Amino acid sequence: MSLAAEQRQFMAELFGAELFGEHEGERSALAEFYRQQASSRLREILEPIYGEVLAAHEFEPYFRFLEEDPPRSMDPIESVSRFLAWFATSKSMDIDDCLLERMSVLCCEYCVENAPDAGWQALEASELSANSLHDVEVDLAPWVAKLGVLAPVPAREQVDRWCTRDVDGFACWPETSPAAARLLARLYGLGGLRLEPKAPALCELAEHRFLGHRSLGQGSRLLLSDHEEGPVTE
Amino acid sequence: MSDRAMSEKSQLGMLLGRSACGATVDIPQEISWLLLDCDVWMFTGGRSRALIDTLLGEHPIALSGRGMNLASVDPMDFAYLKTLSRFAEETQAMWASDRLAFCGLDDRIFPQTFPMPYSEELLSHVVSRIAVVRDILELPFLVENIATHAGTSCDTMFSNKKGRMSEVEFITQVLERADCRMFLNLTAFMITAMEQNANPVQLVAQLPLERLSALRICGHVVQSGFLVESDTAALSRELCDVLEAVIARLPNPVPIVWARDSSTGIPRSELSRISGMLEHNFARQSERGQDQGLET
Repeated sequence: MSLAAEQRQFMAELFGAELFGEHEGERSALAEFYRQQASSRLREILEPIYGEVLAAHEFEPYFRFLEEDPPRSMDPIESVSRFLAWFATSKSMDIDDCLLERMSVLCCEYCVENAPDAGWQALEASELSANSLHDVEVDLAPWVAKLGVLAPVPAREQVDRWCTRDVDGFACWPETSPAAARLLARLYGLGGLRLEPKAPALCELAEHRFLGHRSLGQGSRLLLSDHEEGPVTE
Repeated sequence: MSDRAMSEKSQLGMLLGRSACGATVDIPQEISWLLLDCDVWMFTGGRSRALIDTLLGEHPIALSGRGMNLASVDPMDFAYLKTLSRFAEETQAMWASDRLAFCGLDDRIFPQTFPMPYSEELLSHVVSRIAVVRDILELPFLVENIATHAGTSCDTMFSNKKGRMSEVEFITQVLERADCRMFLNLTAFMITAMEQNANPVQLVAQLPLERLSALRICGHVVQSGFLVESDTAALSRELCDVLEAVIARLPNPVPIVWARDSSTGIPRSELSRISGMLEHNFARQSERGQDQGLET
């Protein structure tokens, strides 16, 4: 038997014929052991993202999703991204919508703290809607603080503190800002939102991205400002 | 090798794994270098990445992962290798390592290493993939063994028994044919030996120790009837005995990393015991080196 066939046979015994081809017979004790090990390590990775849901013993819907469609990258954001895409198309499935939506929010919160720009782009592509968040009465205020999106316009001193990466105990990371702000803008529907990028370079980047961004929708507007010049208003 | 290499006496390192993400990590003064689980850190930003930036100026860093999927028949993941290469450059890593195992197939990746049949086909496959890795990474590359449970029921999971090698034969062949160095996971090696009812010290002695660049140690526990590595369990008496015997056989001091969950901290008593053992052996090896110098 070739190396490829042996590996496929091994994985089929662990994770099932649907994913890795035919496997006949019962799973051996060792295969069960490796399967359990893989599951527990996956939980370790996902715990920082879904800690709250895991603690409430409500992990199963997500775990079923992962079993049916395992990760394709070591980067947890890849799973998060696919989960959100799956979530958007699984409304008709017999799964607790509130739970799934809460998990989506947890994904976003994880990205605020830990994920580089790619994480936000994944969220942005996920069709996560403002309505889905409002349905579960999510308090967006902490997000706003974390992202450095505030109204009224903050003082120069506060902007400087954002640039040094901490404000009032919340992380506020330059590399997440442009995509994060795009997502937030969509969640808010942009009504009356005043966005404050944390540095001139970021401001330029955000402006460049926002102004050409069609998904913002007609009638939406975004108020960008340079902190030295005060808010820009329409 | 990076300019930020360790000083000669700096031998004991600490693993920063997933539990350190976003946490405040207390690095004991006995710890002189850090091993980053690159499968965790190279994908993080924000607060977690800031921790690494802080530690960079204080400790030399090495990288260890499993995402190269060295033994898998899947195509090499060049995006992963490029991300790793960039991360290595940013962290000025001394070296990078990956496991002699596979962790995924058919484009599915699991955060778990799986065993493999030690065949000639696998050997050629792994050696060729290491060559690709070394072409991309601009720093020394080490291979790390895993616990395989190969002597027991694992054999029933691979049907082709012809031309099989022992783990020691396989590792030795990989190191020589790929001309690379080894990151010996002593706990994993001991687990494999124990499952074969073999003496781990005797088996280690059969490895090409001149190619050994670093050692990893951690605790172990029994799960579902199998021995498994654990970063929360204390170092076992057996492991400490094996470690002492192994480092006494080494021709030169080798950096050792202690894979211990940083969120719970390293118990002072264990830390004192291990660092004391290392200092003692370092002194003995230095004396031996001086004696040899005098003789010549």
